[in-house]
Amino acid sequence: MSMTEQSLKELVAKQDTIGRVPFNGSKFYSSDANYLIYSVGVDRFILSDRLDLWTTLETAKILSSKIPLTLIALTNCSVDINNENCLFYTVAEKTGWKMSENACPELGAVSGEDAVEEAGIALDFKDPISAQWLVNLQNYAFFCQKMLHAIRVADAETNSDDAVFFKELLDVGIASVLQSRADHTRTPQGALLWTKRVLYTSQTIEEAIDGINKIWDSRVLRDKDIRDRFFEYSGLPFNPGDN
Amino acid sequence: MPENFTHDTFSTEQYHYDVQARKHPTTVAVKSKLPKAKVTSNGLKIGDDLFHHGITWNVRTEEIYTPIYNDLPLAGKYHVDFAKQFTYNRFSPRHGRWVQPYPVVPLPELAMPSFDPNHNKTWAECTDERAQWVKSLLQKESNRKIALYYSGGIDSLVVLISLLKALDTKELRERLTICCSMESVIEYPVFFEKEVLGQFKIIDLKMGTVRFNNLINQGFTVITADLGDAMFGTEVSTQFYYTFRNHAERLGFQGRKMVSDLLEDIGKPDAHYSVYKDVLIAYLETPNVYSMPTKNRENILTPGFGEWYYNKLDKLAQTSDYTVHSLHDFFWQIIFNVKWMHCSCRCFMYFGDHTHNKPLFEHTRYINWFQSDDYQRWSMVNNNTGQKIKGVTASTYKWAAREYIYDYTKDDWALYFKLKIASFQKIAPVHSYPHAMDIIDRFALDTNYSVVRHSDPGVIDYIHHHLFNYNELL
Repeated sequence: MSMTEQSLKELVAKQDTIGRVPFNGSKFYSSDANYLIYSVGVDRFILSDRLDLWTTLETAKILSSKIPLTLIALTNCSVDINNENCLFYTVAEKTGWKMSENACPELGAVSGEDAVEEAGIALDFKDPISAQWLVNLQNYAFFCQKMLHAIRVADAETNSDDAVFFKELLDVGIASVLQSRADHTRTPQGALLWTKRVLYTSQTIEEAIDGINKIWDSRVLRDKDIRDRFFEYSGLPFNPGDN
Repeated sequence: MPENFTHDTFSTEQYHYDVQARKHPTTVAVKSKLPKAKVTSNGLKIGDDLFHHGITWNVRTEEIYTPIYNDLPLAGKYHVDFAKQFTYNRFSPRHGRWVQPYPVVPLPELAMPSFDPNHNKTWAECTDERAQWVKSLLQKESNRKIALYYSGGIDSLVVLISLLKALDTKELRERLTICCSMESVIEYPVFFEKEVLGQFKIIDLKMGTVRFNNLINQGFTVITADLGDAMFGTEVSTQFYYTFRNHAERLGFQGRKMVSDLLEDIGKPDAHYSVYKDVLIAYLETPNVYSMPTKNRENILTPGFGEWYYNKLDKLAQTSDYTVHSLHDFFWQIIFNVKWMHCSCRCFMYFGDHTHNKPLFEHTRYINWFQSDDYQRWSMVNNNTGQKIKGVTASTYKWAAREYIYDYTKDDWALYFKLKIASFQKIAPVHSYPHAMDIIDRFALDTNYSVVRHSDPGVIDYIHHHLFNYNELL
């Protein structure tokens, strides 16, 4: 006897396992969500992204080599905070944020029209030199965000060889008896991780571009698909190296 | 160096603890059967002097304070409120008027030097001279070796950089070991890769399982930068400046410009702290404003706590011979004066296992880097000079130390964006220690330099007696 469409529907309707009621993530995900990288030290937003919470969180983590940050998901707010004006905005209610907790970014959420406010130039960044460094920080943050979006999407589209992901889900003993690769490039630990590493340790955009170009050096690379996608999405000019 | 340490040899079997709770460190404290260390002090008799004592809220102190709280005199209630509101603030005055329930005498080695208005050494001079002093210790004693607690934060960076400059031979550098954790790397990864990795021996503190007493027992002289905050102020101040507008507006202060102007005056010598009195009081008594909530904590304070605390600090300011004028000075005196003992002693009191600690001082086996007369006098004469906080936000806090670091690293990112982070708990996470329950049992340091536990003979009676007879509010 085969299952009818109706009987399958009835079977599905009877299920009450955890997960049948979807995750209530409205604090973090909504059509108007604005993911804002926030510095408690500067007390202003550094970057706005409306595409992806997780890429933005990773950017905050990568930037933590230079400044402690927090990621804030802003929802239900019509204030148009974007990368042109975010340096002038801050969270309105600060008593929930601690100045001295972590170097590693965490995720927070605020909601509503009054959750953010325009506050002008950050108090201790009004002189031209420190203001320039605030802009430098923002430039580096935007660069990291764009590179991360590009490599993550390129990797997801082209990489079916990420055995490292699965290795980490299994017993640590497996790693000692079997080698695994993260993608089909010859970059140690994979192009995705190596790109993050370059962004985390570089001090300037120029230094980071040099490091990224080394990843895609044609003497190292085996898989052109991921490279072509990455350069298409990142907007970086492809530098094939010496050969 | 002849030494005679008596200490508890650490063993997890020594303490009763819940294996399941260990998997979730934040719940370690929530259990009914409290542990007791095998080696204890002689306890306390009513009226005994102390060098230092705890004011902390945890499952151990909750057992002691909660049943008596409602019957305590007002000053006793406020004393317990300290524990609820500012846990880990363990106050023992070094100077000026600061009444408290227990008789406390200054620990001689941690005394405050006299105020010298003519002290004119710079931060860099104080620091480089301190490093030369450590170098001279190494040169005089060929078997002395140094273990530096390094968090990657501003204070321990100052120490490490000064030692990098002073220890100018391979032989001297080989006697410096960096004690750190992965969190130390995360706080300043570029510096770690460039200046530490491969250049010094490293001891991984392994989430706090390698502890202060392990290092002492291995023959190290331990250096900590614990008192760095005391040089510059306290994060209670930067947190206040950060939240100032919220507190001010709740009190009805209207107008962004007025509030902003007030905020920008915080570090200026012509703006007296009393201008901020109302907002300060609101801040000081805001529930959970600066404490870590625990499962059973009821952060319900006795009415008037904020004003009492403000008046207590005001009295301290008026009876000290250094000048307390601006709001930043007002906060600074907390950590420079009454919290100094906590920052000085916490390494061996809470992160170590030695019960008797006098040899640490007798043999210079434990160096609080900033515990020098020069540093302290620098701190006393540099109120409102822009050296402690250049502006009003955490980005310019510890400015003299930032400039010292920058002079070596030329790293603008660190100069402008590094923040003071409460690092010690990161590299020595006491709440995840297997014997965390013993640590919360530690109450005081007696005048024999011995750690006294709540469970030692007579201690509960001592606490009860002194809290019930604590009637002096200011």
